[in-house]
Parts: sequence; structure tokens; C-alpha cells
Amino acid sequence: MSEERMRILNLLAEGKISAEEAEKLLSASEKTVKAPKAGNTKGKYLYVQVDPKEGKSSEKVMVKVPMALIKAGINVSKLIPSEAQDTIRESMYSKGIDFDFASLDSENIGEFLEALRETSIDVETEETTVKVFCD
Amino acid sequence: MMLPMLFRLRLNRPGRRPINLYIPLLPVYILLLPFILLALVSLPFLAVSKETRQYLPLFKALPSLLAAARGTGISVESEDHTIYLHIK
Repeated sequence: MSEERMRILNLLAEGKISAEEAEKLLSASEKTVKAPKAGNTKGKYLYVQVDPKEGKSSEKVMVKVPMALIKAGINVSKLIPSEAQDTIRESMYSKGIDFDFASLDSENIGEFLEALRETSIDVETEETTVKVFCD
Repeated sequence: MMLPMLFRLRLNRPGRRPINLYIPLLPVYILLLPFILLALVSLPFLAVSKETRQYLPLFKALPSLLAAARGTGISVESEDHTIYLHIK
């Protein structure tokens, strides 16, 4: 039970507010609780967009990845046996990516995804423009 | 957990008839179900070594990964063709 809901029920128990007032306050508090949930839908997908520059014959590519898939992928990566994880980590390190998936816990994953939602990467080359963003 | 139910493939080629496929995945799951059940029953017996057993949790996590794939879309456009894949 939320703190606000508890406070309203206490006021009702103490007789400071009537049942009707308590009902109004409770319904109002429910609305305020539900509001941020609607906001959470923002950043549901991660997009990787590759656009060729004018006059270049590269392919235009758009990949739409659900954030849930990224989260599930990270969770699955933790189930990979430690020996295989070491091989993956070494391979990633040799490519210049120093990242250990095993070090991610549930809190870190939340923070990681939240940061990813606000991330926007633009890379411009001679032939293409690459954009990575959430929407 | 809701598994993907539809796979869409659209292929456009200039001068040719476009291909637009909607593949319902439920019959695919039904077809694969006996093999999945067989694998679930036999895997604990087949995976006798400790190293192999370590990989078993990965199989358990596959349905959640598949369910999370709903909404995935890939689109590739070039002068010759346009390919669009979508998992619904």
C-alpha cells in the first residue's frame, strides 16, 4: 500500500475526513499514481537507422528493437556459463569493448536501460549517416 | 508472457510482383511442440556432463527471449529491392 493511501485511510480512521472525502482522495491519488506509467511507454523501442547520403548508393536500413528484448537479452546473457562468458568477454575486449555482462544486476539493468532510453548517437561518414535513438 | 503470433515479410523488387507474406506462428509452434517436449524430456538425460548442464538454463530462458522479440522490425531499402521483416 502506498504512503499516500495509508495517510488517507488514517485520516478516515481518525474521523478527520468523511468516507466520501476519503473515496475522492483515494481516486485522485490513484490517478496520480497511474500518470507516470503512461510516461514509461516512452522509449519502448531502440532504433538503429542507416541513411545513405545523397548521391551514394548505400542501402537504407532501419532496425527497430524492443527494449524488452534488450532486457531479456541481458538477462539471458547472465545464464551463460562462466567459461563461455570469459571467452565472450575476451573476444569483446579484443575488439575494444571492455564490458562485463555478468556484473550487471537487476538494479544496474534498470539504470542501463533508462540511460539507453535517453541516448541518441549520430555518426556521419562520407557515405552514410547512422542514428541510434529510442522512441 | 505472450509469444509472437505473426511474422510479416514484404519484398519489393522493381519490375516484379511484390511478395507480401503474413506467416502465422501459432501453427509453427504447434508443429514444433512435439520436438520441444521431446527435447525437454531428453535434455536432462543427454546433458550428463557438468559443462553441458550449465547450458540448460539457457533453453529455459528462450521463451522469454522469444516473447520479448514482439515488435522487432527490420527494413532494408536499396535501389534493387526493399525488404521488410516484422515480428508481431
